[in-house]
Amino acid sequence: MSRRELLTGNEAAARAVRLSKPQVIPTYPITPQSPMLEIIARDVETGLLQAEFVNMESDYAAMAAAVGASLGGARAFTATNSQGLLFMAEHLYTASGSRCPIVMAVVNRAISVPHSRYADHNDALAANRAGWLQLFCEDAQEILDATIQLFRICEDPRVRLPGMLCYESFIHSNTAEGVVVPEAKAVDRFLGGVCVEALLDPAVPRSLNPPTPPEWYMEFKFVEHQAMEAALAVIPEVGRAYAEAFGGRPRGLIETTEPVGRCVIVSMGSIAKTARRAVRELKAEGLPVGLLRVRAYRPVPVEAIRKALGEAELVIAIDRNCAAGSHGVLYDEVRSALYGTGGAPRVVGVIAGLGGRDVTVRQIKEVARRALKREPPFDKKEDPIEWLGLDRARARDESPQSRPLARAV
Amino acid sequence: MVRPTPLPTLPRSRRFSLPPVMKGTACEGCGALPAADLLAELLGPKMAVICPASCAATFSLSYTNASWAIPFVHWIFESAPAAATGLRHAYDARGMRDVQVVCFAGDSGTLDIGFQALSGAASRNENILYICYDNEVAMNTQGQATSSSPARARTPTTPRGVSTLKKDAPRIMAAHGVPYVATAAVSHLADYQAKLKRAARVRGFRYLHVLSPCPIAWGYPHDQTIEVTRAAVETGMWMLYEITDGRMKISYRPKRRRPVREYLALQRRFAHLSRREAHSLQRRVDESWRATP
Repeated sequence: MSRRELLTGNEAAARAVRLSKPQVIPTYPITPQSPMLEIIARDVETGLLQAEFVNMESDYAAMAAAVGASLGGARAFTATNSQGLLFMAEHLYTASGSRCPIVMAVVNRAISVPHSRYADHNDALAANRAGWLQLFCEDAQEILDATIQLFRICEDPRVRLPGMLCYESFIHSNTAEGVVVPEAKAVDRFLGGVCVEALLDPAVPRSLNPPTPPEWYMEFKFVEHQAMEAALAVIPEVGRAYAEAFGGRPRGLIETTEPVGRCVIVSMGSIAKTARRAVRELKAEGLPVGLLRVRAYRPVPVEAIRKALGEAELVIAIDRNCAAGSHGVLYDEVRSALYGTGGAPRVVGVIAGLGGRDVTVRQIKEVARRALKREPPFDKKEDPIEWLGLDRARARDESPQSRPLARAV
Repeated sequence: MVRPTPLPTLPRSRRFSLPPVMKGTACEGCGALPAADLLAELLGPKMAVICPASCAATFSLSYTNASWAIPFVHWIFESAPAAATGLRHAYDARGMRDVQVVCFAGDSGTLDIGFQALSGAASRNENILYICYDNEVAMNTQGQATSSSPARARTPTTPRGVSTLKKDAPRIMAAHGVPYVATAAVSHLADYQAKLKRAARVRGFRYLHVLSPCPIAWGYPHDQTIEVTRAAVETGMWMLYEITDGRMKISYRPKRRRPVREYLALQRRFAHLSRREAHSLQRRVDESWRATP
């Protein structure tokens, strides 16, 4: 029988790991992922989880060991975020290129400098070209569900790629919510046996990663790309199977409110949850507003986005990320998906919640109202980008507060 | 029916009983070859080799040919011991405890970029056999200096000679408290062989440091590799010893050490040395032997 428990995001992830039974868990601590590691270490110590738990000497070593374990045919799990994820960068590509179905929790945290321990998506997005699946979670329930699902998705013979399970620093990781925890035996049945090909197997001696000439390199990358495209079908398939096995609504590549409406807010992660409430309240006021939540950011669900936004006239992309000199990723992906479709809607971008800044229901409602009425800052002809809640007086380069410095008092 | 997608792996090209290393693609006189050859011959088919970016990684496989008839991976430069850790635990979790996990790495992959991962794996006393074949330069990129380059040796990035001392890797590894550390040289193959066998029987982290000269970087005729290595051992520049559970034992004590200048004179990389510099190297060697039990 499944039971309802009060769990933080970290606890939900740790519980999902216990249920999914990875065999090798190489780890290195980083705030705020470390409470999860401590739970897993205790589970291994007390025998609740039969696994090799290894305290590695760094984040990149943790990922190297996860790849090594996967090449040895074991189901591997690890977790990191922000600086740790950037430090891993080289091995992220080793994992995807070697087709290792590693599952990694990424507790999205802003990147230094300036130093921050709070949420934004720039860490995972820095790895968005590394050949990893990326699912962004909305709440603790989804963290648990998606972790279990991700093991099955990644190990699917059509996919065989590593996957990141993304949820946000503190907002998700350290906030407790009611979570339905499925029964262990049922999860065993859902996942089936471990399906990790041992590429380094003394019974079948092979040499891995030969220097590859230009005549061959592209084919490997194309095969990887095809595997990622196959995941577009596998992710919703596994979501449906999970809902059948354990109840709840099936979750796929994206989620939308019904009907999606004339004005659609596009977001992912915790902001999507806040936007859900804003949308409900705006609808009650009679405004034609809906929500599109991107759950799978890699692979990019282009078709699903295009279909969902078919009737839309205005799209508001709210991004918890930024790249100086460019746009938010959702803004770019949505515009790219819509380009060439007849009567594509106007798309406005909002950069919000960087470094853990709060994004409120009221702010999102205000953005939607103004965008609908074409009021400033959404009155320009060019598709505008608004930085939500920015203190413009502080955000001047000549301002003394614009340098990440502190003074001894 | 789902068709499996191709992977960047190679089928085994020949039986294990044949020379396992693809000699043709290494340079003539390569000192790493005998080190790899004996390893493959001695430890047999029940092992997997992780080889970080290095000459050995380059001569071990091409796109069409694999020279090791065992599982082998051409790995990322800085993290062979970390990958070996994961592989070791995967084998352990899958009941394959009898498979040796071996790292075969050059001096830069061991002592410079790979040092953190090496120290990490040694601190955890992972059940891994680590072999550093030391040619005292980053030869895969044409011989730049590493922290294993000896004092005064000329390299492309130290045109006036290395100004620091060679990093004493084996003793640093011994200080980690690992059960077995040994040095070897490709001129003394029986000794290397015995040490490989001993290391294979020990559980935990085992470190072997093999002096493996490079004719190109060191500047001597390619048929002189064994002679040059022997000179390193007999002049006392390279000491052969074992440290078992913290106890050091010299494996070979030259009856009368040949003068260091005989070793230096064999190689172009020391050709610029003044008599005084050569003398100071001799003094250093004498001191290190005096300090040895």
